[in-house]
Amino acid sequence: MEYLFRSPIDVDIHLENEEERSFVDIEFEQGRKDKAPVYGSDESVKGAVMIRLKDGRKLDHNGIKIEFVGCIENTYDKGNIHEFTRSVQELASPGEMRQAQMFDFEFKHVEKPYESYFGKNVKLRYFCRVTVTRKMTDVIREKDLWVYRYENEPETNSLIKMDVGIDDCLHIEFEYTKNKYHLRDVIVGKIYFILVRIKVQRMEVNIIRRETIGTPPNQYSNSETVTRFQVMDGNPNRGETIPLRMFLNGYSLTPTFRDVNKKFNVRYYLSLILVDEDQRRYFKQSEITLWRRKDEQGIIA
Amino acid sequence: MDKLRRPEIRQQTTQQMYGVPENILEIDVVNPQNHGLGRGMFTTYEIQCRTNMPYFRLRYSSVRRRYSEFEKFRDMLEHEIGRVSIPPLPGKVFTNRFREDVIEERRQGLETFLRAVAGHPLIQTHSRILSSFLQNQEFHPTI
Repeated sequence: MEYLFRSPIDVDIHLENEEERSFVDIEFEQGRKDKAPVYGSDESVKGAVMIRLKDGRKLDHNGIKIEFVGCIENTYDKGNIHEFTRSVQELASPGEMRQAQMFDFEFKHVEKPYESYFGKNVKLRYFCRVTVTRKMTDVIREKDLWVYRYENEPETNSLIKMDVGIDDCLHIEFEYTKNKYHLRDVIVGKIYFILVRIKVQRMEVNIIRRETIGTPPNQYSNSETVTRFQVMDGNPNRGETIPLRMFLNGYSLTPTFRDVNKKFNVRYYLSLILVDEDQRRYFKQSEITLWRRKDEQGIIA
Repeated sequence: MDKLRRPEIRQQTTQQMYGVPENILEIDVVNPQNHGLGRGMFTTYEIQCRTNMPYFRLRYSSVRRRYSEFEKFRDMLEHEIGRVSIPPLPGKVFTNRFREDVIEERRQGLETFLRAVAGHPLIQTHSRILSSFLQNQEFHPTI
């Protein structure tokens, strides 16, 4: 993505039915914002490229092409871009342009095997890139797309139930009714207090996203608390049960990504935290799997 | 809709509901008193402890300790419990040891120290000297 300071031409990529699609707001590092239209995973990518000449000058070029690219980039290590899919279409052979021209393009049933993801340290993008090759510097323009992948209801969905604690101090049994949740699901569960010898001030359940890039030994992780739910205020007695009901809709969650193209992982955890009056924290993390469900009305979750 | 139903909740007994919680622990460091004369003079502080936790021998206790005993206690604790970082004691004082405001500052520091240490669940369950320091009339440091 290069914007030549004094580019002699204006290149615009327009995707078919762009206005009718839903779109996702995306932001790049330099603050550049865009709206990426949403595509299905095996839809064709069709559209037109409009090239306009500035100042009435004519353009000599060594060929114009358009590529459809799917790639994984490391945000902090710019050189590290891995393209996992690429298709090319020639738009014009070397020659001269004296007036504005429009070129149609179509990438039929192009494979988009993974869901788009813009994370803290890694991005998975799909985009169309037009390259106008010239003697001095090429003119390049990119247009991002967004891809969602849907799944069906998982076949098995077991309960998460555990007995944890510190000997003689604190003993709890917690339960979450499922271990796989779709993005607009509800987390239902309960916490049962078997032994409480500490002075509990409050209890909360946090959703944590952990992004891991690379493979061992060069693995790099970063965690982010997506949201906190306070579930209890004050000190419980033994034998008391606190019910949990937490709605996932509305938070910036993505499906769980496991080893995408062997390059990165995005996993989610529920972290149950108790805080005592001296601000000591007692916590237990459990991994959950998030998946994207297509609503019956066709609303994209 | 069945999936959203609240999971089974165990009935709590009345005793469990209204009984006194087992986490009462109140520690106060009060009544500084000077003992002895001249160069041998020293100050002791009273440690009052009110608790219903099972680790402590007595429900109520009142003992007197001097600063050097707190220091020895802290050293023994550090030896005993590796994993926990033990909070610091109020600093050593060389001049005006018996001035009122100096003693008061020290009293507050010792109180904060004891409350943090005695309230720590890992120290409660893994230390043998905590309850003897807090509740035995005589403190016999082994270091």
